[in-house]
Amino acid sequence: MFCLQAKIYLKSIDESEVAALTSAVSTSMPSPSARDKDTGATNTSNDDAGGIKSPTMAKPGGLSVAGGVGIKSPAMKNAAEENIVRRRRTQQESIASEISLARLILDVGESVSAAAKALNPRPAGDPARAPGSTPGSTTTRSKAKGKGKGKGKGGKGGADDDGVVSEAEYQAAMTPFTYDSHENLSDGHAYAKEAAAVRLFFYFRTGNLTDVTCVFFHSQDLRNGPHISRVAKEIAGLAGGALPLNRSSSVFVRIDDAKSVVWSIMITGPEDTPYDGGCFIFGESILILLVCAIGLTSCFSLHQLQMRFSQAGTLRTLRRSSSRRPAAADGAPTLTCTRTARCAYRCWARGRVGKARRGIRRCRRCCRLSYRSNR
Amino acid sequence: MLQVIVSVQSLILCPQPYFNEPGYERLIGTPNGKNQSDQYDANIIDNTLRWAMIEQLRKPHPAFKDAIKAHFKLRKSHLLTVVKKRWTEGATGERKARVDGLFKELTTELNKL
Repeated sequence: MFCLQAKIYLKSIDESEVAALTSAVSTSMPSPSARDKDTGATNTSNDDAGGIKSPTMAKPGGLSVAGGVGIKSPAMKNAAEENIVRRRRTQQESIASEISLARLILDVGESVSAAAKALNPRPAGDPARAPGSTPGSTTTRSKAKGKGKGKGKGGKGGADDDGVVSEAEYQAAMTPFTYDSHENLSDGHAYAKEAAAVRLFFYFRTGNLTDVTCVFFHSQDLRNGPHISRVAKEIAGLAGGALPLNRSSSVFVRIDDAKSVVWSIMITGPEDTPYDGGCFIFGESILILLVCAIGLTSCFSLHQLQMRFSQAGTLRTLRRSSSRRPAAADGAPTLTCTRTARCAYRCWARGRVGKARRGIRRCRRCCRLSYRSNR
Repeated sequence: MLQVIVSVQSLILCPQPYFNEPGYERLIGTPNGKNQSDQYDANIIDNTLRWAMIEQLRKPHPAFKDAIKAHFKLRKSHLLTVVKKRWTEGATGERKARVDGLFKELTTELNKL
């Protein structure tokens, strides 16, 4: 399903890419008067728009605004020109990176299904591991169920003899369960509401730009939009059999059919720990990271997001690298966000500062995505 | 995401989670630290038995139902021999009664599978 989406995405990008690149060439070297017009438009709308727009949409938006603005003085021309050229370059870069990512997803999907076929002669196992279509996965599920039961009985029989289920046996029986999609996962999911709120957030952030607002506001769920390439990449990675599966401890992932950002993850407790054999289901902490990551990537670009782990292994810091983002309009420096992921997300969704956490100062310009901490 | 998951699996679900708590890292290796850690583990064991095993067997998460059943079928013997022995080893008095009760419940739930 995600392969398909990546294909569609790539197709749409390929078309718009050609148009965008030609338009970029034509607008970056036009006659002086046209240049000035574009300058005015840039100064008024750029700093709000720059980070938010998907690169593919950025071009038409910029062009359409360029129509009705007056002529500026020649002194401002050079600086503004540079600004435009720099902006075009970053946009082209991000277009190129998104395209390459989409291609990567396709490649990964193909190679994964090929590898699964080559490695795994059983017909039931293949579609479960490859990112297949929904009907495929449902049939797999029913087959896998019968299979798991059969194997389970075998394991039980063996257990009476020597008390141990072998590693290979466990893996063979559990493989069909590692990754699957589920119909109504978001019902009663702790963060289903937040996943829906991301859409709202797009709307808020793009409220003053007609072009972009249309695109985001009409998107019916989170499967549309620039973040999907990132989600698809994550899922392609997981569905390709990368999830750890051992007798000692294994990981199972379920992804909602309709909203691909709603995930549930089950980890079985590793041996020799106080969690041995227990089934621990994480619906919440991990999902919110994902939602936050998606929010960030769709707002900035795929490369601006950095995640960092604290020593305890929990994700504490989520920060934006300042290298790609130009300084704000009034000359304020780009600050590093050291809030926790959840806090930052809440903050954006509301457009104002949420509950201040200990050790983090409230920030006045929070809705413009700049943060300060007293680290 | 895979990185996040694997980190949770290996770093949070670790043998001695007590020393993950902030400020207790320096107690590693000391007798006092071991004592505290054992108490902490005992609490986790109770909750693992109660919520991550018995409760998941009674009311499994709908999305993971098949996986949970298959998992417990395959791990049944391990749980009822090795794990039971290890977890009831040092228990005395009230705690022993509690853990034994939990294991009894677990056994009945596992036999229903």
